[in-house]
Amino acid sequence: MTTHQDASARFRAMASDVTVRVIDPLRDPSDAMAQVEATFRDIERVCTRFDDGSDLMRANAQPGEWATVDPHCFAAIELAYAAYDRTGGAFDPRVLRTLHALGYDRSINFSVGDVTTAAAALPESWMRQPWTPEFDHAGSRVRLGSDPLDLGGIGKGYAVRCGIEALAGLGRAALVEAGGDLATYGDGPAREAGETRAWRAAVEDPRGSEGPIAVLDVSDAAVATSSVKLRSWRAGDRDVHHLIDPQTGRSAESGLLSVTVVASDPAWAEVWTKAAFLQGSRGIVPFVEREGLAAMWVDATGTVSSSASLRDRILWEAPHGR
Amino acid sequence: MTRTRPTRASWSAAAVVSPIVAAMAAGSLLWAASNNPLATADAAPATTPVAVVQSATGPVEVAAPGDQLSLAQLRKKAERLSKSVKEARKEARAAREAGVITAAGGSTWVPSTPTTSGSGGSSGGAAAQPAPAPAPAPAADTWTGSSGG
Repeated sequence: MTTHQDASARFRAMASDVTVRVIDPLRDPSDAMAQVEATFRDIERVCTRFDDGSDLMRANAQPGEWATVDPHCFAAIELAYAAYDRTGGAFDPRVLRTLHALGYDRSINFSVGDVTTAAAALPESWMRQPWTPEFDHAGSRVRLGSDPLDLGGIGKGYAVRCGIEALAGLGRAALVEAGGDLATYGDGPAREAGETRAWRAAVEDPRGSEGPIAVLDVSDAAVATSSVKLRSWRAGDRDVHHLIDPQTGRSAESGLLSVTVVASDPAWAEVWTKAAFLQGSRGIVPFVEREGLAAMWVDATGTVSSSASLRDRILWEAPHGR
Repeated sequence: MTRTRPTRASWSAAAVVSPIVAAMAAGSLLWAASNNPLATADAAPATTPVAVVQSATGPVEVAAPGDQLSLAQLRKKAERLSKSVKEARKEARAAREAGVITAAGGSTWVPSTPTTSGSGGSSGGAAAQPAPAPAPAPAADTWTGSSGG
């Protein structure tokens, strides 16, 4: 018997299914939940790279000039720069030219499988200058520099952050999840009277098996996963994916299939999962230890590993040879 | 630090290898005792525990204290034990070549091997015991995976 009240809403935004839940609401959560959806749509509208009229693409189109952008777009770009700076360039949103060259210049439904695009030639050499954008907070203006940005992943993480903040104090617990990026507060929905239990997030197997590779306690936390499982396609004569290595300007050949990170903020969880993925199967161990990340990853041989910081959050792991 | 998880293979490997190792160790002691004139002359006192060893290749060998054996009998016994030890060593070598490395105390490590759908990894185990049935995944409230950024 369900002993809690569970208000939920689902909608589609940012090429993802979005779920919003409030457990045991203290007051009518309808307005706040509608506000979450509106915020997602606002952020998508101003940060999308698939609309030349979006604030992001207008700023991309005038790299050497100041561009006035919506506060959400400003915040997402500023966050992307903070991530670039904090990770020493491991996270770098200046990958739009590569994605376009690989044919990913429009929203693609990868779930249908076997996607093929006509690819343009990638640059033979990849000389990347340090990124030094400029910000005018008072005027909500940015000057991006010569390389156009893609805010796809971090934009979604930023939207999840705005969503969970909009639900603060509204109930005993809440969840915002958008295509695998999620944030929660409070305990998970109880199934028995007097029971409290964690929010549980299943970690998808990037090799495609039906069951998860682990179930994590994600109470009062945020989670993001970078994986090559879905957004992989054939570009001309190359098999590629959407996780671009800023060191090479090409799809990362990291020897990893997925990286999941649990953090306190969904935007930073997104940053760290991408930065960790780009370290590759050899570099990820010292990286997650140095940064103290709560991470789980699957390498190309199928081996699942996790950092010491994640252990307390692992509720269940798939048995060997499942 | 990072970790990988124990594998079921380690339990079964320990079950196979531990008797062989025990036989080798105890068999070698018996063989040494049987071939040492001093050892046969100074028979163990009656309070010495009986050493019972299950050989991997033959019947139970019992070295009872106070046994009075002729030199010919001792040689015959030593030959039998030596043969058993050789066969046990041969089996142990085959196990090692199959990828199972046996350590002191009966612990075993199985080299990390990739799997097609589960987790790989190396493990340290202390004793042979049946693998518990894997628990099913608890119901989850949400997922994280490939549709992330």
